Amino acid sequence: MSKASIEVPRFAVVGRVNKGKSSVIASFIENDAVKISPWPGTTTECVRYDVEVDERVLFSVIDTPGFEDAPRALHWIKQREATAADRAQRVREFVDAFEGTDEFVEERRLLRPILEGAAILYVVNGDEPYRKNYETEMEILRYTGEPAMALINRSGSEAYIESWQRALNQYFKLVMLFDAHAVTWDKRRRLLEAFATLHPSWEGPIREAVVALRAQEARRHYQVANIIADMLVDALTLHLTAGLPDERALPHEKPRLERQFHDELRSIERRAHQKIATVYLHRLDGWSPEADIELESRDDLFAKETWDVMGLSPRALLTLTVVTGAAAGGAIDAAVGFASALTGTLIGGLSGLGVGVYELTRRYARASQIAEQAKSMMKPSEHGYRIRVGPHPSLNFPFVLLARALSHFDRVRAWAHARQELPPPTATGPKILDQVDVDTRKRFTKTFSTIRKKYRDVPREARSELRETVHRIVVEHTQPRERDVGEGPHAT
Amino acid sequence: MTISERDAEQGRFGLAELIDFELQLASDRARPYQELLERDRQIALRWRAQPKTPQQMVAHWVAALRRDEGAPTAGEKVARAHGLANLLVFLSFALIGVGVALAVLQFTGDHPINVLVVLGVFVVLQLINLLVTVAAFLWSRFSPGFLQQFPIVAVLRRLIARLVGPDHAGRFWARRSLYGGVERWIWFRTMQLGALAFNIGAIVTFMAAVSFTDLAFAWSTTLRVEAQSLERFCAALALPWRGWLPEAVPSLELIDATQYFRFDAAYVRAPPGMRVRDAAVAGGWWPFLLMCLLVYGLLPRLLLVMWASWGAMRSLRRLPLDTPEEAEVIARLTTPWVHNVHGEDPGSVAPLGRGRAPLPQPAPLGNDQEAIVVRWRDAEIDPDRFVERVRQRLGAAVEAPIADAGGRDHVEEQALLARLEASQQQPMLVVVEPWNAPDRGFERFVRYVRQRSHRQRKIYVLLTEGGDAQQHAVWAGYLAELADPYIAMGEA
Repeated sequence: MSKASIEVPRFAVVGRVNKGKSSVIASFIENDAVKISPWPGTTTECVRYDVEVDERVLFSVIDTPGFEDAPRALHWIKQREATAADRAQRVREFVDAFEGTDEFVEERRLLRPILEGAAILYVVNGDEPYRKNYETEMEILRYTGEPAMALINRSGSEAYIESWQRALNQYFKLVMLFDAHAVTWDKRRRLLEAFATLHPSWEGPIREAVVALRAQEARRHYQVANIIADMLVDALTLHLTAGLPDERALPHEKPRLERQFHDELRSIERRAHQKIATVYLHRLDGWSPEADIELESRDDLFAKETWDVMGLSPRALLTLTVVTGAAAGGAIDAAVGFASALTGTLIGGLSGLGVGVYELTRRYARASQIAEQAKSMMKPSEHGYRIRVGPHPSLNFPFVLLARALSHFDRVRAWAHARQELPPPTATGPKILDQVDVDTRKRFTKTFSTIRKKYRDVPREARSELRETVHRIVVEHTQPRERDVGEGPHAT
Repeated sequence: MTISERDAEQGRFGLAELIDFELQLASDRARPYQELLERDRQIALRWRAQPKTPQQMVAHWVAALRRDEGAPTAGEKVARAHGLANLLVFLSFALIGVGVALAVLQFTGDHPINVLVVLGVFVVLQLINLLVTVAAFLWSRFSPGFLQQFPIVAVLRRLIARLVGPDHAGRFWARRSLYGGVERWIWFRTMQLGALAFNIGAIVTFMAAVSFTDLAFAWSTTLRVEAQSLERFCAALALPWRGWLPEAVPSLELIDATQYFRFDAAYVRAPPGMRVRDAAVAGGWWPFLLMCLLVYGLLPRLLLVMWASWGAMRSLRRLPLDTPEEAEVIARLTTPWVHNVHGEDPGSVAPLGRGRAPLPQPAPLGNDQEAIVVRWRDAEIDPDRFVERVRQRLGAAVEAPIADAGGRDHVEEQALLARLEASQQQPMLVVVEPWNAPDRGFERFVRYVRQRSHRQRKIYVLLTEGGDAQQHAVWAGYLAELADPYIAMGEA
């Protein structure tokens, strides 16, 4: 294949065995099918991954086996080298010379796509010290004459980065830092944009790929918002009823129904979290936030710790209830031309405070008897008693769900495909809903209240408004994070 | 209401499309997200022209999915069922109209037809019915399903459920469905269509009776109603046409002459010679009655049918499509589908060394032995400290100089091989850094050593400090795979 005929940018990811080439690819193109293992020799053949946008290949990434005997290969090439102009030809001869033998198998395999026009993406492990023998690999790559950049794959230690950068800068046009285990969309985009600098004619396709990735990310945010909005509606409208033969069954059935109700809420949340992972092409089958954890402990939806950390802070909750109560009272004051000397506002505010204090302590929904409820649409039961639990009455409950969903969303976004498991939650920091302004909180409260009241048939308008508000929160939530993260890739 | 596939392709959204859309959403809930993404984007890519509105987009989407099904879809069945229901209602009510008209206009020649009965049945009762149905329809806006209280709607719904199956019907009749908002218009239209047919039947019968029989009309009531009052009432009724059709307004003379007790005396009990003149007077009511039927029976129903048809069409065209699930389809159709395609990766991720004998620890070499030390891939050691440790742990001395292999200079490695060839059985200590995973280069080096020197030469692979358990396990597994009984592994 002549170089002129190559229109699709191609990148051969090369480097030493077990330095994270496959991890970089898996994270970069979001593909769990890339085989990653700590055992050497996992990648034995070149595997090409075509990144397609709407069935059109925009660029390809080629996973290659690692260099295994570079010093000897370089020795062979150097022995035959005449001038710098001959070097690429010598590398070609090297590949051809050992064809059909079991010598330099990996080197031949990884050099072939480069000789066919693929740009070089040289991956080193920045957590390990630099050693001069790497120069043999870099030398061979330089001999090919193809555009090349280096990626320092590092996950923690900064100790060796400088020495790597100093060495790599001598061989590569561009050197970047990259953490294959913590790749966000923004980091992928920046890496992709860096690729465009390697070859002027690749700028178009790469720009197109960036635009497609941006649209994809926006759709993902949109979809996550939809999932969260649906979860909130499902959770806020959940109600269970049970018919009891007589009053004696009440002490037993009531806690059972309450338990079932809260389990169902956990299940609604778990399903939503699993769906959020699916948006980012991860699978969380069988996963649950409460896995192997006793109920009422740290990670449970209804644990006190959860409500302390997630949802509205006590201050925000009290502010919300006091402001709402005072506004209602103020409306009465206004109706009487303020002849009441703001008594309505005062009483409303105090009532709101009382409600807020009560809300702070209410994490569980309780079952109540509904046989005599005139408003109940239930058909008369043949049983003597009918009890119902739900919708969950707590003002803070949907906020807790929302905050937990956003926290889970953060984890999923930070979940690189090179990782086997969902990364742990970020340790500390401000409460996740602190960024939501008071107006939005009030709008949320109003929508939640409508949904709860009309739980039998939630108005479409309420669902639609909730979706839009959650989407805005999701988008706002992602923006500062991606600016903060901004660690890489960095050009050096 | 059913529309052709061509219409759907042009973006028209009918009842069949709406139902199929909702059923498709329901069945998509169980499908993997990636599958939906691929399917929907491929549908969008096949469009010849980009649809402009969400409704058009969804109509195209439904049409594309239908094309794959072949058999009539549930939506088409429901739309056909609605068409059939409309036809049945139309024919039934036309017959009822005929029957009622025949009953009301029954004239044997003995007694004239009471005009007030005709007006009562075809004007007053119809207007009451109209008000009731319109009020019920308006109320159904706030109470979904209210129209189902009407027996005709209940019966027709049962018919539809039987045609499409209760599962399907349950889905599109479910709460939150888009169909719920359109259905009330459809049933209202069916009801008005029945009323229209009733009036057509009645008018046709009336005209037939007027044309082919000799009808005589009179008026009588037990109430004390003067001819002048009736004249005013009739004039009020005739208001819409009195200006342009004065013949269809009963005169006071006619009303006076056809009051039953006078009319009876003049007509029934009059000598036979007088009857003909009075009979002609008695027939003078028919234009007024016909106009009443047209204006107060047929015309309002015709207008209501048109309004209901417009309302149904409008509600179909203005479907909000803004709930999370619906918005999701639009997002999938409009966002590029980014994915990757790749060949088979033959690599193995299986751990090395399984089923092999565990690697022995380095045994003491004895004071009379001098070991050759090789630094693999520039492994860093403190020579003095290392020599001391070898002496302490293995009881051996180190032969100077410490050699290098796998490093930058291949010539150096060749010199080492020559030295090893000369020394034959002298133990060899290979110092490696645990993070530099073993590779073919290392394997080749060991093979050369075995080929060029004594096969029972002890080779101790000594790992430097650092590295994690996994890296140690990789070396142990790799060396175990070599199945060389004279290789041992320990710490440097």
